[in-house]
Amino acid sequence: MQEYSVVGKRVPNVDSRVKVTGEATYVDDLVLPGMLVGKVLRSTVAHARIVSIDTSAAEKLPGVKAVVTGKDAPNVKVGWLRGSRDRLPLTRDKVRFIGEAIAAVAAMDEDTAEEALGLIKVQYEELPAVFDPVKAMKDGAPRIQDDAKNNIALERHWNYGDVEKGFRESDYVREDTFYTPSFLCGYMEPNAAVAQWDANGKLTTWVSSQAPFFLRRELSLLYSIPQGKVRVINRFVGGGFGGKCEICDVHVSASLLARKAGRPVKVVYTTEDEFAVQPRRIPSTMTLKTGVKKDGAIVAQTSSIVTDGGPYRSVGGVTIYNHGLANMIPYRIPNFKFDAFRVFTNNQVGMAKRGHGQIQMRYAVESQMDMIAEALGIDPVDIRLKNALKPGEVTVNGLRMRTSGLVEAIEGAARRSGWKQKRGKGRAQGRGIGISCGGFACGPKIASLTDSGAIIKVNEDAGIVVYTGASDIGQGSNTVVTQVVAEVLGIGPEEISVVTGDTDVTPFEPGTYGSRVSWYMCNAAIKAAEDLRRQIVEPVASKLEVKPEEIVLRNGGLYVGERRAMSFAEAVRAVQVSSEKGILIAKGTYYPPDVEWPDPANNYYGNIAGGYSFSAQIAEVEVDRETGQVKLLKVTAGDDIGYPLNEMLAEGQAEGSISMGQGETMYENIIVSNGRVMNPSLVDYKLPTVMDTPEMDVTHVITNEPGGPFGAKEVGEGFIVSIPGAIANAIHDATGVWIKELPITPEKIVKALEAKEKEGKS
Amino acid sequence: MKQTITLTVNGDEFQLAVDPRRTLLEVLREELHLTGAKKNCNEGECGACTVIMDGKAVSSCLVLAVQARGKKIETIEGLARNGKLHPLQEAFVKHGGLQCGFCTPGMIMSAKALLDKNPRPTEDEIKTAIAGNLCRCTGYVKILESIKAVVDGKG
Ligand code: FES
Ligand code: FES
Repeated sequence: MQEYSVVGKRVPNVDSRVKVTGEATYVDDLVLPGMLVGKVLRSTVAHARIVSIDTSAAEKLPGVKAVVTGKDAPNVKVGWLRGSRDRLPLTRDKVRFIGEAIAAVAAMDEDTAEEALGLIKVQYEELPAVFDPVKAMKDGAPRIQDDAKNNIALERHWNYGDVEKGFRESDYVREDTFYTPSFLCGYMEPNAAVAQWDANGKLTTWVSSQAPFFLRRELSLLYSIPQGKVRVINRFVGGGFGGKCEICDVHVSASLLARKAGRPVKVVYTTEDEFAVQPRRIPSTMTLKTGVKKDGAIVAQTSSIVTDGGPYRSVGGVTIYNHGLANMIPYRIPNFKFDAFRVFTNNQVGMAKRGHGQIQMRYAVESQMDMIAEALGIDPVDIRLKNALKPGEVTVNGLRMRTSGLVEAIEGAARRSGWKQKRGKGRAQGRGIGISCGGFACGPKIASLTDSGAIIKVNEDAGIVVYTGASDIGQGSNTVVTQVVAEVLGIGPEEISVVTGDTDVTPFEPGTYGSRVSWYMCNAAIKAAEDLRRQIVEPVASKLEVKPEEIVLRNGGLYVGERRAMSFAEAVRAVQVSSEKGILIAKGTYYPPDVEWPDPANNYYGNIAGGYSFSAQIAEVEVDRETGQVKLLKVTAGDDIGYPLNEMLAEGQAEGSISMGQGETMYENIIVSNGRVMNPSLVDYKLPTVMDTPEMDVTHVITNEPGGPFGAKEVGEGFIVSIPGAIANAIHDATGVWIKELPITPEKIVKALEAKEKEGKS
Repeated sequence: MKQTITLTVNGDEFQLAVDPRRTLLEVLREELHLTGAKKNCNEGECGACTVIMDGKAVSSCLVLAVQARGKKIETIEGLARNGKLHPLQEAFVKHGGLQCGFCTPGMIMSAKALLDKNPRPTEDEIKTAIAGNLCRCTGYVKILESIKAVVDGKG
């Protein structure tokens, strides 16, 4: 493994000192003079025409300073992508799910605002609603959006090779249907916004956002004002996991109320708000038909999915595209057909959550892979090795794997976990072990502008300030950007400060989603640092009468061969005082050179990312056959993240992924009945606690991805996508039953065991 | 009707007139501007608001300010002394016991309440002490490592 002086090291998170002291301030910690408290009124019915909204009593309540309804908002629809702008931020004529924002109130204090909400009278004329996406697609089902026949919001169809021929040539073919429900992102900091308009008509809003520039764009479109009249400032972001990418009613109500009241307004979501509108994992029904040769090699696969997106398009086709992407990675499939639908229902809106659209499909594929292995008598490890994508392979839909450490990751995890000694041998003791694999694109191209930029400014004392638009939502992007810049300039990380999250200050950045930040933003920052290095080295070289290439920056100094010519600070000083280019400002922009937009006219073919991560996880469980209780004992994993930019942060991503993946597999589930969330509290929803934490053993396969920053790929998402499959397969090893629906609860296991017993007797 | 109470917070005494319906969390955050204790669920389910009251870790969103009358309250802001971090704080930095940081003040206060009483807890005792503190980012591994490092004197 190549050694660097700062990159790869366990550098503590640069924000951690202010976080452990409580100094780090989040949106709710912000107080502005004259600030009001805002609250949002939500629909209590799933589908209805709004006949009237009477706000007069609320307006008269002492202490109430503004009440807004959809009529106060511009009649402009917003949404993540051009093709998906179908949602009024405060609805006007119709409500389409329980929890949809109808009105908002700003008052002197929270109690008054809440009381005022209770005084708003909404008269509904209820409409027939539909909650099951399959029923929603039938003729005669209630229509949710005027422009969507049969409630089909979006569909995608790919067809590569000849699947029918592939099935004919297969030795074994099977078809299974899997279901995954809706999950909460579950970030700990409630979504929140403070908004203020100044006398120039400029809106400033303090938010907790994964994508401040997208938010700026949406607010500028909504209010028909230039982007220069909207300033979005991120505070510290208390987690996101996909749930803080989009504009939501928190931003719209805060800014509308602030405009109407002429005072700053703060809106902070309650847990109830979060369960109503937090973008959640899309429920997905997936039917997989797979044909293999006797040795387990996949010949053909069809993947058909129906997803429940709720009544709006939100992130549009990305979620369903991602399901197909998860079919393509990490196994070789020569013939593949994909049919995917995003369907409108009157449930809450589905969007992105860590492992967006992919964790669902990985669970399905990995479960079926073990069913196939069992039928053919092949070891689950061997069938995965057989199909694993190798370096240099191109998938049928055009994804180019320049590097792949998957084979080594599988072999390493199998060895370290004691797979051979344990597999198939623990059932009598209720023990099981299971494997699953995954991978992820490093920043898939999903929108037209996906470049990243970075600016570096040098202080008079040679200190470095890096400006990037990336949101550090806890994953540590501020830390890794510090490390890569320090590495290029040969200085210590303590010499560098990072400024992020202010759309008036930093260059554009799409946002922290799709595992793009390390790849795009660090590459941009490296280029900026290289630009700065050139600006310093060139004038100094001519002074030293050497060629610029002869100068190396390390250890806080400029070296010619082994000779330290001067310190970095001296070099900066020399440039600052002697040349016309004394004000040192450097920039870098980055866009991967070989990335293509998946082309709809060409079967969505295209290499959507510069690199692909891989992972292999082995889970060990203990199952109580009487109660169905599962304990996740250990996860042994190998991953190929190219090269870890910061070992400690990379471990943190893997550990957090295991916990979150464990939650989705074993406990979590937003239970929705007739459009109503039945478990809107963190305890009833069952977020994992420390009591659930298994033992973890994660090691990396170093592949040094050529296009990645210092060889790095991504680490935030590729790891989580294979957790459910590993646990599900371990549960099967322990019990002999398959549960084709998440979460795998004790009740489902007991039921399946009972059914199996009956079957055995009859 | 507001009631007058005296609170001792991080060694400082405050005389406050509070609405009896206000929680300790609200008074700390809104009256005393001690925003280190965080509000998430506001119903005792997440632990983000944990402070120490007379030596015990409590969810301050479940304690009425008037119930804290005369009690000694410790919050995250009181931990560092003279610019020196508390060993737990040092350990969380060094061992990566945090990511987004939102759960961190509550997590550290729960751990401190435990260590103040029991400086050498077992792993199970540590887990029990922070079982009510939810963290969505870390998977708890490095949080446990951080606390154990202090217990083992390796902070
Ligand atoms: S805010 Fe007090 S326990 Fe969640
Ligand atoms: S560090 Fe984010 S919730 Fe714990």
